[in-house]
Amino acid sequence: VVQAADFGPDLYSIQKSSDGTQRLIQAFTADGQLLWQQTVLGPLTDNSVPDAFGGLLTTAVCDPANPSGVAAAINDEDGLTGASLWSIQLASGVGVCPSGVPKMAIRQDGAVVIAGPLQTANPLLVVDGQSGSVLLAPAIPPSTLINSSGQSSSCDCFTPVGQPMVDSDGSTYVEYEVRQLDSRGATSASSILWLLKIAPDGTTSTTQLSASNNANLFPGNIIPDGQGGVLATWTVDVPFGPPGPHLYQAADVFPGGGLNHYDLPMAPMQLMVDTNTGLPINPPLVLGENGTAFVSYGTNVTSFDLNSGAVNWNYQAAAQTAVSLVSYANGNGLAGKITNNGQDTILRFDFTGATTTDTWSATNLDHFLGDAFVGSLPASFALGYFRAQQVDPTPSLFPAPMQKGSNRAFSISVKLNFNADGNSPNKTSGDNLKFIKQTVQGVVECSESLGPINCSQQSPTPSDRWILNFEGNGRVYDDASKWTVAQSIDTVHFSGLYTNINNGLSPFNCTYPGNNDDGPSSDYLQQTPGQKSIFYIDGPGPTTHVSFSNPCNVGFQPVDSMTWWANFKVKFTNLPTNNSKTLYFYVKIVVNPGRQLDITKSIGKYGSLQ
Amino acid sequence: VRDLRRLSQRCFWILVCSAFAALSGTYAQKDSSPDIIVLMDQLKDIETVHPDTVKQILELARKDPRAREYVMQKLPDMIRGPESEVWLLAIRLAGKLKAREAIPALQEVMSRRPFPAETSLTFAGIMRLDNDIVAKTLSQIGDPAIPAVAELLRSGDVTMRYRAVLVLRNIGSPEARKALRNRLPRETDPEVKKVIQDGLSTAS
Repeated sequence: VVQAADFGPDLYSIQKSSDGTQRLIQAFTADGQLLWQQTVLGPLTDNSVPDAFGGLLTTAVCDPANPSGVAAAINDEDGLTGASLWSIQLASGVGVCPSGVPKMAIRQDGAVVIAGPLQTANPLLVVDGQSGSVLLAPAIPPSTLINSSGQSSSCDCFTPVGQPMVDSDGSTYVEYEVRQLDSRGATSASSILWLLKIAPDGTTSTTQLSASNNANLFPGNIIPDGQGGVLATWTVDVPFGPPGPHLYQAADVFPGGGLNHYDLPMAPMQLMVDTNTGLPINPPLVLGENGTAFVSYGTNVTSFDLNSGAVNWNYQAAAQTAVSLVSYANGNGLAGKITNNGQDTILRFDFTGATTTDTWSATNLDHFLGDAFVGSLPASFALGYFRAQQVDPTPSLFPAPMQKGSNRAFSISVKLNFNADGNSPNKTSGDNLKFIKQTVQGVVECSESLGPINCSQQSPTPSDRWILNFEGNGRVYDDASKWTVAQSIDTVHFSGLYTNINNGLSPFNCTYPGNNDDGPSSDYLQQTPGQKSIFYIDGPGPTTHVSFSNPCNVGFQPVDSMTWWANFKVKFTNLPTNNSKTLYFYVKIVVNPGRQLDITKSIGKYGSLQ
Repeated sequence: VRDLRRLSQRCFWILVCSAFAALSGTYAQKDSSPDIIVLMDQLKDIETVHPDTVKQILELARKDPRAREYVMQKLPDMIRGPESEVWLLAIRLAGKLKAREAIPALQEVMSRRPFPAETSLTFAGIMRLDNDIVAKTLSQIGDPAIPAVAELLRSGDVTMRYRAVLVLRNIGSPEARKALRNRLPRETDPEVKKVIQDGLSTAS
């Protein structure tokens, strides 16, 4: 299952025939409507990623019958029709089929960064996302192989290039290992591992991560560190001798230069190796908040301090099961999954590492949005859409492994604070906005606290409401003033009972039209130039009095009980790049008989209600 | 004498039947299409108003100019009346009928504190006048209300000027923008000035 970008279908399902010779690609909307499907003949790889425009990038591997021809091909398919938009072929560097598949990352401008597998000519390319034409081909230094007869070959196609990652500011990071392998007599290996940074303007710079005189330093995964730098990882493989004690390593690379190098914590004692390529498997990573990162090795999941490598907590999977990362979840928690006999079950960690397990299972489970998950239904190949306890990934810049294929960090991390647990009623430090303030229509609020608030009064006034106060907090990589924030509200639904003029109870069931332009106005938005935090606040909610002749209007009859809810959308857009992030959430207010605001059932949450 | 008696009895029954038929006809006519006087009378009293009274008044007033004229005669006094369900209904009617005849009364009651216009509110609704039914009604009336609103722009009360600016912003027509542009150099309050500037930049 591949999740599309904002445009086009919401999901792609890619199914492989049992003999592996063909694949069925289907494009679905999130509610399960099939948009198109097509069968692709030939050996597609499992590496399909969303492009930036709602389409799908698929990769075809080298044909072993013609190894000197195409080493790999990447095809971009239109999200709305499935038509092929462009295709690019990677040539073989040495006339053999490369081991491995191309690794891709999608830039904010749609360009595709392609790191070819070993033995591919042009090991690193940046191509235009709409045409496939080459924009950049950054030089990768050659590596040298000396065979047992003393023949020496140098080629950039011998230089392993890792998984590219696009950071919040549009910079691309990728590791490569310049090495010399000598198979004569006393065999030896020496290598230097570099981190290449390609700035948005195409200029490049490198940082040496590590060096070895006896091992391959195979490039690994990279994620942003949330502090302007990156966390780079790699594996240490001694080709001619016993494995060393430090197989999995990492460095927090600081934005101004310098790095802090340490062993990845709780790593296995042996390298995990891909049986197809013989190359090490790189453990996936996700970023949390406040310098926390998470790594999974299959057997265990670890939360650690990415500045030092110190372990926060570790979870060991039971025998015969595997554990993997699904998504960062709000408050330095995590959603993972346990895989047992092909069935995935969501495992939720809080910030201490304490776990709870969901009571449902599916195959190929992944988090979709809010409380929605996608996967295959048990005992069938049908795509399934599941609603469960919500996962809130938005405070993290890199909350999902490989960012669901795009390998692009969010440009902004957003956190909505609803005081959902009832224990965090205060706005974030640095948020100077005020709920209670004089407006042109008087004071329309009665509390500075977040969460459900009872501002009801004996008669209708501008502040006579039940409210759910919330705060939006966007953390940006550049400057808060370079962003816009636009909220919209969908149709409002409210129903319940009001006290009629005979002191009896009468029912009402109403809707109120939504509005695409629902602020926030400048009075409720804080984006100070030079700062990296954007704040906005809102306090949606209903009046507590309705009209006796039409209870869908404001009037003088007190509401006795009601349920009020609306779906919202908020979009943060970067003005210089037009890059944006959209969040969907809802607010529900429940008033129990006797005009009692239910502070437990009145909630704000990510996702949407239907 | 007997014939005369019979004749008078017949006449009596004919009269009774005719009167009954006439009355029945009147009630039937009122039931299917109650006239505007009855409807406006219903509107005056919380005990007599029905859920669809306003809808029927709107239908009649839109169809029949004389009915509209009658409504326009009654609305201003109702709008000037005390805040009540009847007051709210009258203001809503004025907005829905885009009643220019109600503008002076609405201009007068702008001096009262704002009263909520909509059942649901977000902070952005403040700018849409969702919490100010009189101002919102003036904006619904549109261009005919601009002279009266422009007069409010000259008020010494900053809040009144702010509300007037919001009315003009919500009207959003070229005439409304012209009124805002005219006010801009004279406006002394920085917040009101900013709302005018924002309105001019977004509405253009």
